[in-house]
Amino acid sequence: MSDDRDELAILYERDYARLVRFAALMVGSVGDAEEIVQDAFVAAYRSLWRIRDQDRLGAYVMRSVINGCRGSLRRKRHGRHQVISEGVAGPDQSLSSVAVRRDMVAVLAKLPQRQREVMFLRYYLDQSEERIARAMGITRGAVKTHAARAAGNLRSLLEREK
Amino acid sequence: MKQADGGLSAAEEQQLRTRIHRQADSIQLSGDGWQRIAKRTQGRKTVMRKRLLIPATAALGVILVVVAAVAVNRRADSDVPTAAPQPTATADYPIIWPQALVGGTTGSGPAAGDPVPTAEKFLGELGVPTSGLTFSAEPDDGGGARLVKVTARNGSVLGTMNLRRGAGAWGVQAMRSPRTTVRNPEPNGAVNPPLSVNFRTDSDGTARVRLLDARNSKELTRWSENIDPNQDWQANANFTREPNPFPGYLVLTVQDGGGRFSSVVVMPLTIGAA
Repeated sequence: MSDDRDELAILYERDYARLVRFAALMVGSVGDAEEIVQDAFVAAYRSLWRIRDQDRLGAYVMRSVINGCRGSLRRKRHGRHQVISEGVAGPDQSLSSVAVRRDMVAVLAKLPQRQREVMFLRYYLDQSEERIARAMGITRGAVKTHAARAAGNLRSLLEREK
Repeated sequence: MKQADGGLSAAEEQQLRTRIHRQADSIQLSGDGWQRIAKRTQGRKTVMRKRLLIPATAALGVILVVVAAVAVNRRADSDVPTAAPQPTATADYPIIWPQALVGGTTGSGPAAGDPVPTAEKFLGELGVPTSGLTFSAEPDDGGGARLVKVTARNGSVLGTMNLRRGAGAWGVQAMRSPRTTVRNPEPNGAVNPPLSVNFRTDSDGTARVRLLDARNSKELTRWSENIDPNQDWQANANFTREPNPFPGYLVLTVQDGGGRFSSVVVMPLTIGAA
């Protein structure tokens, strides 16, 4: 195996599985998720000559995966982009009272796409706000906004399903 | 407990994280991901070739852009014959080429399908060295005519033209800005042509126009000569009824004190377009 592939292999060992799972959470299909992530790795391999740093390479792949998920969702028109406009649940409504007993991923799947991206990047891939912003191509402020709205919408959804 | 800013409390975040991880980690992968990636990235030469190819392609692109720019400049110069060079050559002055003026829209740059050799032929016949004028066209209030304004390099309006087409058009138009003149519509007795040209020259009377059929260089109107700057010059285009729109040219020239052409604009337009 060449040096280039070694670099890619390191990245694969570190990130592949969790990226596929992240993509699967986003697009709802493991098969599609694997294709998206593999495409991202192939794209990264082609860019290895200019991106040698593993951290930057990882960020590049993550961004490619997010873009791949967006493209896949656009094509399939999953219809998960429903905008939730109802108000948030009351202040005494704790997630623990409802959500822990439910399929949390299914509930999150009802959030608008950008909010889902923020939630899964933060709570599954454990990314910082700064890295989420870079991966999504938005500002840190926008990340905070999406996160706050996602939390509010999540409460509303859980309240309705209560 | 909900946080004051609408976000999730630390305990809620932890619950959320745990739940998502539990569900996501239960997703089974196919296990042949690396084989598929390896197959698609076979051959390190691809990367090496790209390392060389991309800078080389970029360099080639720069060369091509430079060559194209030079060619365009030469082409722009070649559009303006140099038989009678003028000291105030304005080859860099933009010429507006309204596309499909009658019933069409305006735009900059050569018109689509512009029969360039024909235009060059006209210019060659005129022996005009340069272009210092621009056309702008706009529909009139009723949408049935197009007011054409010809502007010199210094912004002064050299003339305005009003074109109208359509069966039943009398060929008498209301001139608009910058010199508003309204003439009483009068039938000109012609069933054909469906197009008339009204033109008012600049105050010195040095600008003149004529309309040509782009397909055969035939004059559709004579030159507007010896016209009074205070009156409209009007001519009916001289052609028999055409079943389909066809290309034409409106040529405007300006002569200097010695009778030589100092400027010309050849404007392609579609005649008879709805």
